[in-house]
Amino acid sequence: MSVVVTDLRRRFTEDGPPAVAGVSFTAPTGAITGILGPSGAGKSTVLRLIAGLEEPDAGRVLLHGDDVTDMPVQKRGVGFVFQGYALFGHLSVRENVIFGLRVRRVPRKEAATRADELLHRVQLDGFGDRRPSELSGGQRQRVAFARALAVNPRVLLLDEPFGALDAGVRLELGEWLLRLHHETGLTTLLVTHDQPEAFALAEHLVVLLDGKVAQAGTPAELREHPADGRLEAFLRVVSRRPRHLA
Amino acid sequence: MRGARRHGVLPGFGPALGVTLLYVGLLVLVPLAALFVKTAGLSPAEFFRIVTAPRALAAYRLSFGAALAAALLNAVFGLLLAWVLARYRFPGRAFVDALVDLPFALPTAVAGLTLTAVYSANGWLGRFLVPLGLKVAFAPAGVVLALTFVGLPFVVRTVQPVLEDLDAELEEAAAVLGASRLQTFIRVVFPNLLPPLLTGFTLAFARALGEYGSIVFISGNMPFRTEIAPLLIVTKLEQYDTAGATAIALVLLVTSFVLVFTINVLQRWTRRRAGASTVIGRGFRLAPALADAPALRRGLVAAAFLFLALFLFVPLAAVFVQALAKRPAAYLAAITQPAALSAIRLTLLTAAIAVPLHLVFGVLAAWLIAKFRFRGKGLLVSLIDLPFAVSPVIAGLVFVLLFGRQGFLGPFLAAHDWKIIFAVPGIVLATVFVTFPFVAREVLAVLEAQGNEEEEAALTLGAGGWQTFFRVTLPKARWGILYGVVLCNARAMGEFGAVSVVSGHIRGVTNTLPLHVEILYNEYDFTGAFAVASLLTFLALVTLAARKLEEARVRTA
Ligand SMILES: Nc1ncnc2c1ncn2[C@@H]1O[C@H](COP(=O)(O)OP(=O)(O)OP(=O)(O)O)[C@@H](O)[C@H]1O
Ligand SMILES: [Mg+2]
Repeated sequence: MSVVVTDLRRRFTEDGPPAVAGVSFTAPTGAITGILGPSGAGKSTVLRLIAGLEEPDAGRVLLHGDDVTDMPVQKRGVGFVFQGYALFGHLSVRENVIFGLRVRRVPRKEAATRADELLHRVQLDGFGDRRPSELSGGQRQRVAFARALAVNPRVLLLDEPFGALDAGVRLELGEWLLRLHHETGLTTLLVTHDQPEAFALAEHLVVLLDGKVAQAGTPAELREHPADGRLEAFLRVVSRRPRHLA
Repeated sequence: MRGARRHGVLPGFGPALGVTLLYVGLLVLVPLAALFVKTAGLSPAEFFRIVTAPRALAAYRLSFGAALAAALLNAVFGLLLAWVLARYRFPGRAFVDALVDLPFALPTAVAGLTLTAVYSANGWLGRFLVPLGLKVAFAPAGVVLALTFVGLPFVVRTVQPVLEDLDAELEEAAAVLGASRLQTFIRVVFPNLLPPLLTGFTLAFARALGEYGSIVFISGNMPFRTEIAPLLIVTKLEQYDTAGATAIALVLLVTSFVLVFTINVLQRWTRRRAGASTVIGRGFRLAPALADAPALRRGLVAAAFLFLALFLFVPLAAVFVQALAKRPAAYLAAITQPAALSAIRLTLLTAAIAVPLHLVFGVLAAWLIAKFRFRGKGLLVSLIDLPFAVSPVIAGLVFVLLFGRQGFLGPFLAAHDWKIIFAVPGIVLATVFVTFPFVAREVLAVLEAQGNEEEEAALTLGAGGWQTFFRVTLPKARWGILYGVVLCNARAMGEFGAVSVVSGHIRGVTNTLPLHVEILYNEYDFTGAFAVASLLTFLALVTLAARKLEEARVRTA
């Protein structure tokens, strides 16, 4: 077991339905788990609850067996990649990457060496002195990955990491992510509303509808045995896509 | 046609540029040039002797020192206010947010009058401070106090929007990477606030350096002790030492040039940095897990309220309390005596000329700058901003140099028996000069925020240049125009220094309302002074209400 959430609940408004209405699932160690669902299903909220960016009304979050529910976000040791990159515009690429090390008081020299290793890993050798504003969208996203990896996170949480990119770059970065995952073996949660992407990248899938888990399982299980009609309708779009994408 | 294409797709570039250059040239450049020409009449040795005389050096020291102290105070408390207004919701927030702009709209004479009353030995706050040995009114501390008041909105209004636009994801990213709240503030938030903070600081400094109206009341005007440089200029002018006044003015004017240039560079830096944070999508929404601790929040809000109380709330309340302290009949008598009525008439007349002029030409200038690309645009923007940073005293002085009896056009005017200085035309000219930037600046901000797409759509639908302007651009910018006009009007009616220099203070003839306040004050008619001041304060409050209205309209649009 690796990332376990039990009966997570979170509501933002007094009336209206809750954003997350009792979500439980297990994301296996060392695998990419895709969190899938239509817009507003509560995917981002679940991920932010795991990271500690939101406080749950109820439920627990366990990382590798540790109950971290009451631990502040700074202490959880998760890597989070935001849809909008959230790179620090006033810092260079290298300074962005070592931000997490610098706030832990790792000496600048040591941190810089680590930054160059990471930039090599995300194929951005020689980009360390640039500003984020001088990079393309795909390059920025890889800097965001390097920054998240720099602190040796226990899990990697990705919220629509390719959401702001065009189709060609998404495909390319998807393959790159698979390779990266192969090398690091990090337990990864990948939120996406793009079903082909989820089916192509994830070994395990959790489908959310209206703040609840509609179904969880391997891509094959979901394709063969959709749990109910609504889910089938949501997933049917996938099977109509061209084969080579899935 | 092809020539115009280079500047943008919208038609009308040539005429707009021509008219704007004429407007800026006649009303800003020519008057300021007079100052340089006049100084050129002095030998270098003479010039040097005047500007380094001990009394002049003492005046610079006070002016620069007090302006720097005031700007630093405003940087610290402006940052605090911006933070509190952008990040927290608390009772009275909307009220505070509106009142922060009061020093923009309140005539400086009123500010000086009420600050003096509140901080003098028997005033509401002075009676506690003076026994502690803290003499504020009629002391250098009073100069710092008044300059802090006039510069109060700048840092708040430059930092607050940047803070509101700063994406929550940046702070969340820092937290996930392990940064504490303090580390996040120092390493992520503050670097983004530094450019607007420096911009606001420089604006407050520039404004403070030229300030005259409020200081006349509070400083006591003692040579070598509480005499600021603008006051020294006026003193020399009153002693018919025009050359001396001009030389000192040149020192201040060159400083203003440098400051305006610095401000424009800083503003570009702010825009670049704001564009550099690579976040797409949702606006400010900080995770509850990252919100400031309640104790910290309460402490900061309390500190903000304390600062505002000392500098804003208490002086504002004092105006109305003092005005109505005597019977209502005394209040009515004070504002209906002939001298007051004539001052009201002249004030309205001045505004009625200055405001429509700036409405037409300011909108045109803003349109030109927002919609076209051309060389020297940055310089044009700086020139439009310049009257804002030039001391009002200098604004008056340049017209004396042009049209006064000893001035360049003096003999010509005398021959035709035309009177400009110590007459209504001089007052109007000086007012036009000091109110120059307001409409153009407000409208420019609105137009730049809106972009060109709608105009381009109108063009593809077959609209001509003027049709596009009247049917698309003007309606889009109408709330910005309204606020620009209201602010321009408040400044026109409230101007003190420039008008004071050119008016000659002829009672019933060349007295505006702010000048009338000073006369009543000097005659120890405090009820009368506060009664007239309350009229001007009411005008300022209406101006602030208009801003709130504009903001509400923009939000719902
Ligand atoms: N801070 C917040 N305040 C109020 N409502 C919120 C907040 N965050 C999320 N919500 C609401 O909770 C619900 C779930 O939002 P969430 O962002 O988790 O959805 P999502 O599945 O990530 O959708 P998308 O695919 O569009 O990103 C939505 O109805 C959203 O409006
Ligand atoms: Mg989402």
